[in-house]
Amino acid sequence: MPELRFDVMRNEWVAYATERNDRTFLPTDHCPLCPSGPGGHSEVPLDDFEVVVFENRFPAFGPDRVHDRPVRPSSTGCEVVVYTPEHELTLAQLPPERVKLLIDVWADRYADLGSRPEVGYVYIFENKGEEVGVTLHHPHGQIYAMPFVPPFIAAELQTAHERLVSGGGCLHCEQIARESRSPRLVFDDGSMVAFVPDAARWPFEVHLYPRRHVASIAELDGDERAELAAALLRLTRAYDRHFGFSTPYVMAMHQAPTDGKAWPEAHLHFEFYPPHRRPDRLKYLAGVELGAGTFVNDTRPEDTASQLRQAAEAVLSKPLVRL
Amino acid sequence: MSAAKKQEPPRRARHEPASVDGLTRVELELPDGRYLLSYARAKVKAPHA
Repeated sequence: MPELRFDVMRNEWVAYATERNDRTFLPTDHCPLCPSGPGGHSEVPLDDFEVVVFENRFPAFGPDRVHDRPVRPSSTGCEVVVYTPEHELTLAQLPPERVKLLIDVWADRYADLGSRPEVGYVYIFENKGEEVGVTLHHPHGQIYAMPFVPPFIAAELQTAHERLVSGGGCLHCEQIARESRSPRLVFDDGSMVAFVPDAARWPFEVHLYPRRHVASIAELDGDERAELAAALLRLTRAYDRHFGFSTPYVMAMHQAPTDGKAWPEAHLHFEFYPPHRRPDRLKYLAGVELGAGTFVNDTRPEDTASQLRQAAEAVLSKPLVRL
Repeated sequence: MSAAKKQEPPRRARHEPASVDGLTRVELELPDGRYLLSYARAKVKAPHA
């Protein structure tokens, strides 16, 4: 059963989930995320579907289980979001209307999970590729309904809060304005802006923002969701085009906590961390990053942004290439 | 990719409106008590267990 322990030395929570050590690992004879029909053995016993969400069989956070069944009502928990029944696709290869549906699903899960009293933060993310630890290749993401605000996001919120109470505006809005005029811009679609941040940790890290100040995915209107879908496709396709293969990445959504308080300092955005520093080399977290917490980046954000900007332009003018 | 052998089918299904306009959300209970939510555009016929 999942367990949380608090590290007083680092002032942070650590999650223990020993059942995950035996979770399904890169199966070759079946796919747990493919539709298997009623009574089928996969995690999705349906004939077909568009997008499905289910409770992770191997959660890192709750719910507690009694007599091998989850306690209801659910408190914290982990969900798997399956983007499509088509096993071979990736997010980059989905049609725009499916990505728009996915965004609507994320918004619904944010509202639904965030309404649970025990949930302090709804963390939506995708791990893509074996290089970042994926154990199932079928296109999917995950949602963790966490009982606390995780440290990276808490630090970001604290910095933005300090800017706001000191009389400044939204730190994120300032960054969008600055980066949309900088050599680190990847693309600016009007309502959506993508850039390599000034102090990127990863060589091809990109942050994607809605220009309008919205605290969460649930606050985007219908037009913005369609524009976000287009921007997500443009960025992921730009990665694939630049590297020449289906690019692994971690996609992390940052937004407002769900503790019922107002979070004017929160500004929804996506952060992408591809592990490659060039097509034939990976960036590893090692002694300096893991032991000291300082990232060493082998590339300049201005240079990687220039490369991604060219790829993002090509995405608009050339048809999708299946890699 | 194919799915493997059979198990007990989901026990119940109920339709409920999702909080986003135009979505249909069908909730199923899996044999081990976990929930599964199937989302579709409202104009699309929802899948059945």
